[in-house]
Amino acid sequence: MAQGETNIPTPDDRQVVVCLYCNKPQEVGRKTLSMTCKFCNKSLRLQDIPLKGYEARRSIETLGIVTVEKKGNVVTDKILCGGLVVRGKVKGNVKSRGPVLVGPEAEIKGDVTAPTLAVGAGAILEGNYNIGPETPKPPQGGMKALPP
Amino acid sequence: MADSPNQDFPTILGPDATFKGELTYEKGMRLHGKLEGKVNTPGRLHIAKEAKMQADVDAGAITVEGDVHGNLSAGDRIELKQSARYEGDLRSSRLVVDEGAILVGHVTVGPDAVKGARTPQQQQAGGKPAALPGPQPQNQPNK
Repeated sequence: MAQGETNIPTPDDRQVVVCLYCNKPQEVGRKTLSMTCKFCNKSLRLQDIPLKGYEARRSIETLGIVTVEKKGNVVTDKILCGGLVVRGKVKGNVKSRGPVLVGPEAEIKGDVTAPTLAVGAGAILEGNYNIGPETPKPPQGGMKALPP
Repeated sequence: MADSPNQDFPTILGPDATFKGELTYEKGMRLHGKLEGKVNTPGRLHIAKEAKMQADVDAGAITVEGDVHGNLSAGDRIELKQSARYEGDLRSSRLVVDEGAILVGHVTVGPDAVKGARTPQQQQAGGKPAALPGPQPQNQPNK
């Protein structure tokens, strides 16, 4: 018999998270705030991050949801997150696992990669956008296929 | 019926039609077939689910349900519906992206993104853009 994936549901107090860096799933407690990926040993935050004022950071990385409130003004190299809600201003590149919601009169200047995007009226967007389900990239620089 | 020509979309390019070249119209068009080239209109463009377009578009409002490659510019709004697959540079005052839509390219959205562009409302008022350089008409007293 094939040893496939089992369909046993995870208990209520456990959740499956996917590492931001190595994309491997693993099970953790629902109340976990931070952890170390057991595959790549990178530190992972699971908390939601609300940003209510001016924040200049090299990077903002969490598996939770980053919320930039109306008075929030975030300047960063990159935001890696599980979801993003922008009501204020963001300057920097965004890579989100979940939906990116841009409120009315919010502003994002930078590249955005996300599965879905919702834009309110009057929002300002500028950058390269890659919206949609992530397609696996073909391997580059590997072995060439043999001719038939 | 959606397919019959109506007031908003008097022009329809049917599913068995292919158009290559530059297309200009006034009110609105529904695209069900294939279009390649350029589209210039102060009105609306609706790209249906089964349509395929490879064109640079300058329009008042654009709705995408099908497959589009090229640069889109709209004075009013661009809507990407659930089935939309769009690749290119996008410039518009407003953007609506439904869940499931695919968008790859450079996006410029905001009130100042498209300067001097024509919206469907302006087209009804005479087809002139709102912000034209030069002297403004002085014949209305400001009281």
